[in-house]
Order: sequence, then structure tokens, then C-alpha cells
Amino acid sequence: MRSLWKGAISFGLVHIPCRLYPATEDHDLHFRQLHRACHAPIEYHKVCPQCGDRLAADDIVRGVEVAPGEFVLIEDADLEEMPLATTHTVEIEGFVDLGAVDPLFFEKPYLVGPADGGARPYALLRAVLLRTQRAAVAKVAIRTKESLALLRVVGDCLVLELMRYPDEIRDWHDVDGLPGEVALPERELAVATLLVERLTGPWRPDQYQDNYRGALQTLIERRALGERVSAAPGPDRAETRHADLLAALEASVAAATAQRAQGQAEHQ
Amino acid sequence: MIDADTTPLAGLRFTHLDKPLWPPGPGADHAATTKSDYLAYLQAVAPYALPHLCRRPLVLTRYPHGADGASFFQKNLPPGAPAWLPHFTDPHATAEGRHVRYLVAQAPADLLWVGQQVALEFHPWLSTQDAPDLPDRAVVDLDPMAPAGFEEARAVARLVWDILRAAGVRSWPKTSGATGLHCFIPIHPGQGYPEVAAVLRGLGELLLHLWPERVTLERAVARRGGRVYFDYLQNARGKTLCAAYSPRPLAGAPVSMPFPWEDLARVRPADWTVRTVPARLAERGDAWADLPGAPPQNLRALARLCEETRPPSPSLQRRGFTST
Repeated sequence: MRSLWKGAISFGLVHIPCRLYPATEDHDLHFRQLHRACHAPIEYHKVCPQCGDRLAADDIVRGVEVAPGEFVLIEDADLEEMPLATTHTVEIEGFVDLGAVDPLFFEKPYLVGPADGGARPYALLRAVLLRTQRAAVAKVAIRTKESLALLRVVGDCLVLELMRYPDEIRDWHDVDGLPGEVALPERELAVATLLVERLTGPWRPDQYQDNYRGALQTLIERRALGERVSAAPGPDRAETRHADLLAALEASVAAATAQRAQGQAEHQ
Repeated sequence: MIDADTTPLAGLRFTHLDKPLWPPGPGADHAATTKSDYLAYLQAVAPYALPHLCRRPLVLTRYPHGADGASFFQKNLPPGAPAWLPHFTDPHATAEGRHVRYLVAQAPADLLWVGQQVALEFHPWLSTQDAPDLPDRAVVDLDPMAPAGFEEARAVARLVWDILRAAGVRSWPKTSGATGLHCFIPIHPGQGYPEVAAVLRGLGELLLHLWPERVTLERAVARRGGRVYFDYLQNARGKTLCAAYSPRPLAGAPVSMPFPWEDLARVRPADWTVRTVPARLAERGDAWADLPGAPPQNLRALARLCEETRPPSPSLQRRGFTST
């Protein structure tokens, strides 16, 4: 597996060289957008609505709207000077009980593998987290962003859960119409509880698949057999293309030879 | 209608236009790159590529059966070459007592002849025909050895850039078209190749000192071991790195692409191919446009810096070069 980050977990005197691997992969089908008339994949262009100009990357600058129509510009150089942690370290700040952190905080999981020389301290941290049923709270910088993270054990592996900061999580009090205490008849509660018990079993994630994706895949396979769409030019177009190219190449050669013949004539 | 096989162009005929020369790249959504694609590419990039070839003898690598087939170097212009091709006759005779006649490309038509020859790479000398033994370019060649790849070369290049800037030396980087990076430094053509190689060797030794896990100067391939090979010996007469905008004989027809140093962190070599480079040049122009007219850089300042910073100064150590 290809790691996307190499660094170390550190706490106190313990230093664990490690690598991070994405823990998830995207299996979504991605559609291309084509011109309905000729089936060429369309392109996106960035256009200035004021000047109508098509813009290159160089023409574009970051801005933040501080008042209506008033922007503060931020250049790459400004961002480079930001005081961001660039060290490749998972800095453990403390430990909490496993289950004390609500899943709302979890943003993106990474698998953690030991790097050269890391196997023993890796095994030590894993054993301690298992024995104490704790998870480690850590700070980590991935790319340019410093994140809060939780380090916990899954199987034989340490997993780093990138977490959202508390101020990124909305307060449930803001949800409209939440019922407070409601008097519920005991009979209703008992029946509902029985139903829940019946439907309760071990967590078997392999029972669940993406049915929508399966149906879409079937549709695509059927289409591919029947009506294939293609933007490949027919033989006629290839011929005109060659004719155009040859005319252009000819002109280049003619220009060079004529110029050199003239140069020689002037020389003599 | 032009008949591809019979149009005489002053001794140059364009033939076999549909011949596939490069297999498609990995994950490519298009077919092979054909000879007509290549000729159209040469025609389009000639205005950008020619300034960097000016008065430099060219060595060609020909692949008569495409990038997957056998190849050979061609220095001497073959007997059938059109008389109008500009050339340079090396005053030094070969061991057999012959004088090699090199192509010196001046106009788009000369590069089109290169395409018709199915020469998939062109390599200019680091000296010009005016002073063939006195290089006016010094080169840094970073060649990662598997399992090291472009990311490792990129990291070392970042360090090279820092050192060159610290020495006050301007340099111009390009992708090698494969997994490596090249960096060209214009210098005053007043010293021989061995003197230039010695300065670059000093730079290599400084790099090795700073980052032994990542850099190697080993000439024996087996001992380079997954590190980035710093090939200072490219600074030698007759040794040639591929030119800016020369394609490479690899799947997908990748091109050795100049870029500004500021783009180092985001440059992706696989983005630049015979198919994609012309549009990029039309949009952005040549990232090396200011190289041909740039003043010679102070190689002695670089030599001095490398001498003085071994062992490395704390300022170089502090910058976190050892993180990957």
C-alpha cells in the first residue's frame, strides 16, 4: 500500500517512526460530461464576468470578501509565512477513555503502519492502548493543515482518526422542534423495545452494498454493448487532418530552404 | 489532396504519418501517439525549443520501430540528409580519424527532419559550435533510482534550489520527462568541461553530506540503492542531457518540460506529453524564455559556498530537509 505521509508518533521519550495510509477508498462512478452533439468531453474555463476574459492560473488571485464588494487579497507567499506546524509528527497530548469521544468529531480515518525501526515502540503503544482501553488525543500536520486526531487500535493496527475542532461542530440545541420530555405509554415502549431486540445482531458490514452503484454498473455495461459513443474521428477526418498538417510542414521547410538559398546567394 | 508519400520538400518527405511511435501512457484515455502527432508537436514547439538549441550540435536518438523498439544514437548526419540542413563539423577527429558532422537546428524545418528520422529524443551539447570545448551551461542531473521516484527527486531539487540561491546562482529547472529533474545554469564559456564538473561534484558532495539517506554519487548502479543519483559527470564533452521540450521514448510520449522553480512543489511530469505541451506553451509561453539572454552565473561563488559549507552550516541543517 502506498503511504501518503511519513513521520513519527511521539510522546514523552517514545518515538515511533510510522507511515499513514488512507483508510478509505472511493468507489463512486464518475461521469464525464460530453457535448451532446459531437460527444467531445467538455472543458471548463474560468472567465471574468466583468472583462469577459478567459483566465489562466496566473491571472487568478485569492481574495476574502470583508465587506460587500471589498476584498482582501492573499498571495501564496502570505500563506507560506503562516506559522503552521510542518514537522511530520503525531504529537500525543493525552489519553481518554475509548468511547468518550463522540463519532461526530471523526472526520477522516488513516491507517498507521510502523516505518523502519518503529515496530517495537509501535507494538508497545498498541499493547498499552488495548490494556487500558484508552485512545490517544494528538495533534498532527498533514499537508498544510494542523488537525486534532485520535489514535486508537483496530485489529492489529493503529488508526488515526482526524477530528474536527469543537467549534466546527454545530450545537444540537439549534435544531428546531426537538421534543422535550414526552409521556409515552409503557405498552408502546415495550413493543418497540421487543422489535429492536429482534432486529439486533452482530455488526456485519459485508451485508450492506451500494445497490445504486450496482444498478448503474449494469446499465453502463448494457449500453457499452449496444450503443457505444465515441469521439474518435472517422477515416475522412484523419485524411483532411493529414492534408492540413502536411501543408503546414511543407510551408516550414519551404521557408527554411528559401531563406538559406537566399543567404548563400548574398554570400557569393 | 496531398499524397503523403510523394510530396518532395527539397529532399525531405514526410511518410508513414499514421505510424504509432509511442504506446499510450498508463491510465491514458487516448490511443498511441503517432508520427503525425509528433510532427505537429515539433512544428508547434519549434519557436520555444529552438532558442535553447541555438548553435549547439545535436545528438539524436533514433527509434525506427517506435519507442518500444531498438534505438541507436545518431551523431553524424546520414548521407541522405537534405543539403540545406545546418551542420557543424567537429574539428576533433574520432578514434577512427573521421570528423563528425552534427546537425545544428536553426529553423522549424530542421526539427521536422528530426521527426521524419523518428528521432524521439534530441540532445544538445552544453557548449556551442563557437567554442566546442568550453561549456556555457552547467547542468544538475537528478536521477532517482527505483524505488525512489519523482517525489524523491523533487525533494532533492528543492535542496539544490536553496543551495544555488544561497550562492547567488540563478538556475532553470525542467522535468527529465521520466522520473528525474534537470537544472541548467548559464556560465561564461571560459573553462573546460573537467573544471565545470569539479564544481558540480562539490555541489554533489555537499548534498550527500546534508542528506546521505536520499542522495548518492555512486557510479556503480548497484550501489546507488533507492536514492537520487546526482550525476555531475553529465558535465562532459559529448555527454548530453535531453533538450528542453525533447520527448522521451516512454509510454504516453512524455516531454522534458521547463518550469519555473516556484512550481516545483506542484509540477507533475506525467502532465506534459507530446499531446499536451503545445497548448500549455500557447497559453503560458516558455518558462525558460529568459535563459538564452541571461548573464553567466558565478560558478566560483557556488564552488566557494560548497567548500565552506562542508560540514553543513547550522542554517542548512535547521530547515528540516530530513523529513520526507
